[in-house]
Amino acid sequence: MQPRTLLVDSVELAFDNRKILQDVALQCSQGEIMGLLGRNGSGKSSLLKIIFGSLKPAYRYVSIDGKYIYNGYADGSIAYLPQHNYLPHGIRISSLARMLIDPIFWDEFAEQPVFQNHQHKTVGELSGGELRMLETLMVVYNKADFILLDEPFTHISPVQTEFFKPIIKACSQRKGIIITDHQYYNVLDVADRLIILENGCTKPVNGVDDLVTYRYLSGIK
Amino acid sequence: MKRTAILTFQYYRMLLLYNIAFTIVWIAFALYGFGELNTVVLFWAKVSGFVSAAFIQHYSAKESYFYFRNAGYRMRRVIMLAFLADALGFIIIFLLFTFIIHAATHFIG
Repeated sequence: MQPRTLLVDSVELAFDNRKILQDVALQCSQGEIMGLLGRNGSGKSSLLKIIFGSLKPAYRYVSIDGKYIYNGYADGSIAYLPQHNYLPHGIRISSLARMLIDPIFWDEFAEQPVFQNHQHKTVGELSGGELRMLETLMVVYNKADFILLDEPFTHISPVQTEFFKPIIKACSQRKGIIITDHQYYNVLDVADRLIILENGCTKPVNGVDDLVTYRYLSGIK
Repeated sequence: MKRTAILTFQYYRMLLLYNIAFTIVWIAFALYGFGELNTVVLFWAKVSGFVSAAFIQHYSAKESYFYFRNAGYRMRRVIMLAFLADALGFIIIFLLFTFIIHAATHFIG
């Protein structure tokens, strides 16, 4: 089957007359991981929310295979891991997972130790790291064709980060993934290509040197 | 259909305590204001209770909306379905209660 392509173009977003995003263009196909880098306040999370459909900018063009998408989530094409916790309290993890996980990948998901150990618990009974792992897994194993990961490595330990990288890589064989995280070295590890958001514009990154050029890094060690 | 029902129930469950509390408050408020409890006042209190609960939920736990969105649902749809379920439940309980009162009156005399 032909891989689907997500196209984002002409995004314009401003808060209080301050332009956050003004010349954004990116493309992501199933089978690839695109790393999105940028300094604090550059608009990375806003851009992901705009693609997902939960944030309405002044203008945006988002399409999948040339078909305009009004709300990425509403037809189940796009799933999004927000920076904050998103699973509702008071409901068992197994009940929540059944609503999000693609039935095709249920067995693979259900084999994960973090699910096996905590499936009968509710959100309030989990530690921050356990919850974050489950939330990330539930997005990665979602049936959506495109996955947006906003800081998946930030609230978890280095061991858990290493655990997630092959899962994200394996997931990219069937999905298109856009990933952003301030732990840029982890993004570099998993991403097939990189773009950076600078002054509201997306720019391709062809090497680590470009990260210095765009003042994302102060220098290369 | 089953998936929609489960998601609606999950959202409704998040609201339940607020919903009951606000409905009682609005019933008390209506009793104080109108001096009597009739069908219209009860229904108005029920609707106000649900709206107040949804409003509180929106400002206190909006993050959980991403769960429903990741399931492929618009929040407007989930809230509307929960409201319909709440109204239907209320009507059923109200009719049962009315029936029991009438039956009890009839048999006791």
